[in-house]
Amino acid sequence: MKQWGDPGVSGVLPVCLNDATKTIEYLHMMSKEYVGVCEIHGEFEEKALRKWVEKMTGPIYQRPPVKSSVKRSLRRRIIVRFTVEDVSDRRFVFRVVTEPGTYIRKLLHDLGLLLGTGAHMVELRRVRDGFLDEDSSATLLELYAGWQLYSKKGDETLLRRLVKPVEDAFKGFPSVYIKDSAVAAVAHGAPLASKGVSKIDHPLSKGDVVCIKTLKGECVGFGTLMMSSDEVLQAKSGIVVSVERVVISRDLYPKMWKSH
Amino acid sequence: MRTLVDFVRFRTLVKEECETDEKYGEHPDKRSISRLLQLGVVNLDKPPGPSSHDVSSTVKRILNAEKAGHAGTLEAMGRSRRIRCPAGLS
Repeated sequence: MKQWGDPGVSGVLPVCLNDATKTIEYLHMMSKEYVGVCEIHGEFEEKALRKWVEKMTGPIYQRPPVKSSVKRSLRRRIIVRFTVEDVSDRRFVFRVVTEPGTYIRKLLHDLGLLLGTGAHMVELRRVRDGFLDEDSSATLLELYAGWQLYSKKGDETLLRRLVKPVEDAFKGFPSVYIKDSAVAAVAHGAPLASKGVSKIDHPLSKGDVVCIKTLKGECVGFGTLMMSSDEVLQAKSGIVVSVERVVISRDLYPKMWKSH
Repeated sequence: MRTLVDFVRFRTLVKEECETDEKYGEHPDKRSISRLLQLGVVNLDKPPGPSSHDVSSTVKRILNAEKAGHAGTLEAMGRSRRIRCPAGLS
């Protein structure tokens, strides 16, 4: 039986493996881009549709739908881009870039209310999640083939193309690059001191979440910046990042701190 | 928490120029396949039908991983049907 409100939802879904699962909460910080089809329940003018779609760009208020897994308190979300790509009969194709945690189905339901006719989402595809887009995405079947080739034939070429270093998902994420000598200390849970910093992304303010990376580009962990990037560049001493999450293994870099 | 960080373009500024010792660590691009499976991400094209959770546990089984988790649930809401992943994989 075809249920009402059972659209095909597909597209980019980053799946983290083993130690990479520690980065998931930070993947949630990045924007998502969707393409979808919406059906309007009545006569409408294309001009009015385009007007309301444009008006729904920017900050909006949204209450999560009844059937959702979060508390239904009003939330404010930023719609970065919302456009009508094509209109045919009562259906139209839209493209939307949003802040994480936006319910697209609800966005289109609300658009229907503004139009005065009602509307619902028919189909949705996520074409980008942060720095990962659909051009480089892999299907389950490809992954299965990749694994079989690797485990049965010892050929890792396909699998390597499908399983990416977790750092790929954080390519443009605000980062602090640290010296080899500071890696083990941070990996063991120490905060990052200014003496350990080699490079930093600019501009960043105090309180921003940053990814700590090695000079080879490995993800060491994540934390909150305790001073602005300007101050970090000047600082002779002090704590630069309060580390909240360690991703790297402890044994990759040698311990270089002094013991008392 | 600040979101949409991927929309900001940063410049990387040098505080102290340093060398990195090739004896330690690993360049992410040169990571061995076994290390990649330990610290990797699959940019999965989720098929319509199964839930994000079903799909990430299928990935876990395919790759024989101990743990797998997905970011940003991609869900049809109010579904009660459960569709299984490609035949033979479950």
